[in-house]
Amino acid sequence: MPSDDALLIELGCEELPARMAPSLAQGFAENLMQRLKASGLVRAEAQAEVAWTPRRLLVRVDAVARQQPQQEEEVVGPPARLAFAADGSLTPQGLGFVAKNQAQPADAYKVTNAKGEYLALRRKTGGARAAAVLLDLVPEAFFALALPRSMKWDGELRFVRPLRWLLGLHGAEVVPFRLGALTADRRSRGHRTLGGEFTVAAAADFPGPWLAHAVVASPAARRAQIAAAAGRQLKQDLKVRGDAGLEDTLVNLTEFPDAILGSFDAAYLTALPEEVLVTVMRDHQKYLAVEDGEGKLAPYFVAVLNQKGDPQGLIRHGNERVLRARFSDAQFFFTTDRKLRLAERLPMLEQVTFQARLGSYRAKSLRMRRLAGWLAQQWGLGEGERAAAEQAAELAKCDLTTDLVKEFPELQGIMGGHYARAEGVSEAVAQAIADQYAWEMPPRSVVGAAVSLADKFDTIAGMFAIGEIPSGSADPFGLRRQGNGIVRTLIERKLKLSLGAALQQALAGYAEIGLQELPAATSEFFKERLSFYLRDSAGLDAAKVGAALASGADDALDASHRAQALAEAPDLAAVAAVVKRARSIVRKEGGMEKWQAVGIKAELLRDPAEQALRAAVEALPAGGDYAAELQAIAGLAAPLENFFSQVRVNDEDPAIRANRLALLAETVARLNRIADFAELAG
Amino acid sequence: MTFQDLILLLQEFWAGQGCVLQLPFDMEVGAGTMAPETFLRVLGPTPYRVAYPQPSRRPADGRYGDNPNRLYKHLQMQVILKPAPEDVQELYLQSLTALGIDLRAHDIKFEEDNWEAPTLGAWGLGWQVMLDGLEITQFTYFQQCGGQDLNPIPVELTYGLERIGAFLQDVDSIYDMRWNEQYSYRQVRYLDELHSSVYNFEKADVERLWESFKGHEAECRALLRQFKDLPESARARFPLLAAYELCLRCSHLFNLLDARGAISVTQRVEMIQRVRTLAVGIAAAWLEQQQPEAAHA
Repeated sequence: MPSDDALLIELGCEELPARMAPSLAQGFAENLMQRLKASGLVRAEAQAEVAWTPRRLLVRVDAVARQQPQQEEEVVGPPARLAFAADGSLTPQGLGFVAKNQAQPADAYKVTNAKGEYLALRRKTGGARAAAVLLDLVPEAFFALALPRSMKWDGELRFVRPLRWLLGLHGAEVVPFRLGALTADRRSRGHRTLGGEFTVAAAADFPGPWLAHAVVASPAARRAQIAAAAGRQLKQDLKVRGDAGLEDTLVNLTEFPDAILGSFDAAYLTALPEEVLVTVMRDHQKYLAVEDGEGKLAPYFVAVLNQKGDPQGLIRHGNERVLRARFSDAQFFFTTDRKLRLAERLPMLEQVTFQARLGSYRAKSLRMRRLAGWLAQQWGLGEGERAAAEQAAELAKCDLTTDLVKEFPELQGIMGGHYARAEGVSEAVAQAIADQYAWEMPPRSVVGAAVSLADKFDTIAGMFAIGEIPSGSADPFGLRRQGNGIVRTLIERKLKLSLGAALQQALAGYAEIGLQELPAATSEFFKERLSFYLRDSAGLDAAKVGAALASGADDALDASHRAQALAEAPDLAAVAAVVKRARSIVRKEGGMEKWQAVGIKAELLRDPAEQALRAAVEALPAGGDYAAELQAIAGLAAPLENFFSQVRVNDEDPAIRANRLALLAETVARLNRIADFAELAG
Repeated sequence: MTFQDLILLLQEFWAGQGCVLQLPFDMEVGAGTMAPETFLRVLGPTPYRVAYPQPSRRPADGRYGDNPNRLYKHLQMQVILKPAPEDVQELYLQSLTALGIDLRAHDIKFEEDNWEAPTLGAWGLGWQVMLDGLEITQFTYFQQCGGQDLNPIPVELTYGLERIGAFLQDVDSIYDMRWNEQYSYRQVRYLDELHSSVYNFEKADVERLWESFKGHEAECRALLRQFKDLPESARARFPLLAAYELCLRCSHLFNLLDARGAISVTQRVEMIQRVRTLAVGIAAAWLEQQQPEAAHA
């Protein structure tokens, strides 16, 4: 028998949710590898091969040893003076230690280390047979999985879906590990209709027997099989419209994927907005949309099957039937919805809850109207744009009462835009309504930005005021996403706005229901959102983002300019270090506020170094060109260092001492307008 | 295969699996799950198997008989297997074969769908079963019912009969389905859909619906209080099933009020909670009555 061999473990179950299968498989494999390495059965650099389908998790590891390496270790016990008697024999305490380690008195010896002389034993570890170790190791790897949501089906065992069989092979031998009432053997199950039950001779045989029973265990292979199958169905210049998320789902919904091409009545391409067609196909039916050579949506769809072929066309026929019903419903809704103008739906918004304590969407629409108007004013928009923003804000939620949005909630906003356009409202208003959610991209116009921000500020102010503050793991109302949207819109649409002022305006809208205060967590929340955006979307260095926001996080656009400038600035390490020193001196002597209040008296500046420092600080550009300002600030390192080497802050004359502290305070404060340099120094 | 044949074939199949063929529950319910044969039978340790067709009323889904796919009252085939057999998925697929569906000529997928009924304090994990892109069955391993953890775990199979019937007959409108050789679905059910939709959306007397709701709720709560005050020896004959029927009336009245647009934004959550309180109270009382030793464990 070879000294090592491949190990193959399969956990067979009922269909796992598509979105969970990959992480479950990878998590199980990681847990297994970690334990195999810790037990010495594989080398430290060994890697697992991981595969999965909806009905199984598979891990294969090559070169797993049949026996653990033998190891010897020294175990240190009580001090020698307590463990050994004068004649060198063991005291009761020494004997106790020997017994506890299942050794013999003859194995005991003395060892000297930094702490002194101690009783020691040589202990052998390892050497266990893999067959025994694996029986515990595999279940441990399973139980260490963090399950997002689990269920019971029989007994106390919990998993995402019921486990139905286990396979365990080390080389050609079965590893009969147990989970619940199941014991692993060498049997597996193939595809439900295209395969059957089968036995596996050896771990190294994988994936052969599975493929023979129509199970494509490798997700990468299924992905390729789907692409090839779709390609075979598409003729002329038609191609699948890429949809990575849906493709992932389809890979994880099938064991043996194939594809069919179905068609729908081309009249729907003009009868319904494209977003409706694509949403129905993707979200409700998991079909891939098809486009022609020019990228225009074509009256076809690709459905991915967990079946081989469709020789009688039954599957295509069935899918076309379902899609026909859905499109017909959508068209019915689209037609009946347009019998009412959006404004006529405002009273219906009374019946749609925004939030139990914050009232209906009708109330929200009125608050949004007010807030959009205020935002328009802040940005100096003309009368026409302000009116458009107010109208769009008030109508923005009306589509929630339409049948189409009730049926397809993911189309809210988009349908509002279509219905607005259909009834003849201005393009600016229609577009603003369509863009209000701005999840992927900011609104296209400033009117759209006013509507989108009015909505988000209103929601955040209301939720925070009633104490619905997102925590580490819980954000049921998606407030972080809303905050991210606000930050993104302000920065990418280049809109100047005080977050604090906007929040106060938003809060004022809730005066009628008695909400009067925002918790301190609110500004912290926005600072986090801003930091997240600057690090994640703009890719800026965390330390520089932190320093820029420490100076101010109220105006997102300005903060982003300062953070960007910091990222591109020349090396500021030298000036940062000196500024940090200056600040700590000022703090030690009473604090920044105290010394800024004192004010510098020019006539008290005696030393050329302190005069030079003051001159350099006054010469800093302040026009908002942060790049230029930072260049000049970098140049402050020298005058600051000169100041510290030549000037004694603690002069005997209290007036001069005070003046020098005031100079340092003013310098630090001046630099703090752009960023907290002390923080940059680390 | 007519609609009638479909019902008979499924009943025959599940009778062959040892299910009691019960009759549809004779009160208004929104789903087969709400019938006592499910809601109360899944509680406690006693094994059971039952199958019954159940007309399920959802007032908000009414479409006056105009929509070819959507109904106020649709027919479910409800199957409960407690405990869930280890080959339940295979059994389910066999039931499709029994309907003449060739599993090799169609595309069947089990797509994640976790069913829950907040008014009943019930939830489970499972799937919607897709047949060539059409959802035909809700397949759920119940974890909790009436707020109680279930043991053993039952499996619920809820077939959507109109959908399956229309699929098998390959008609685009449910109303065109043959109910039997002589009569169509339209002839049997159109008037029910039309009259019910008019009543639910236009004519139902909101004030009287509220009064009925409050009356049934008060009576149900009074019964539960009485049960609590009874010594254990006197509990065995207490009419908890009658209390449950009062709870079901409240649930249906809530659905009617909702369809009528009479439930305001703030009331909705509270109403659901009120019905849930009744259901949870009944479930706990039921366990005490049926398994007094277990309930105190």
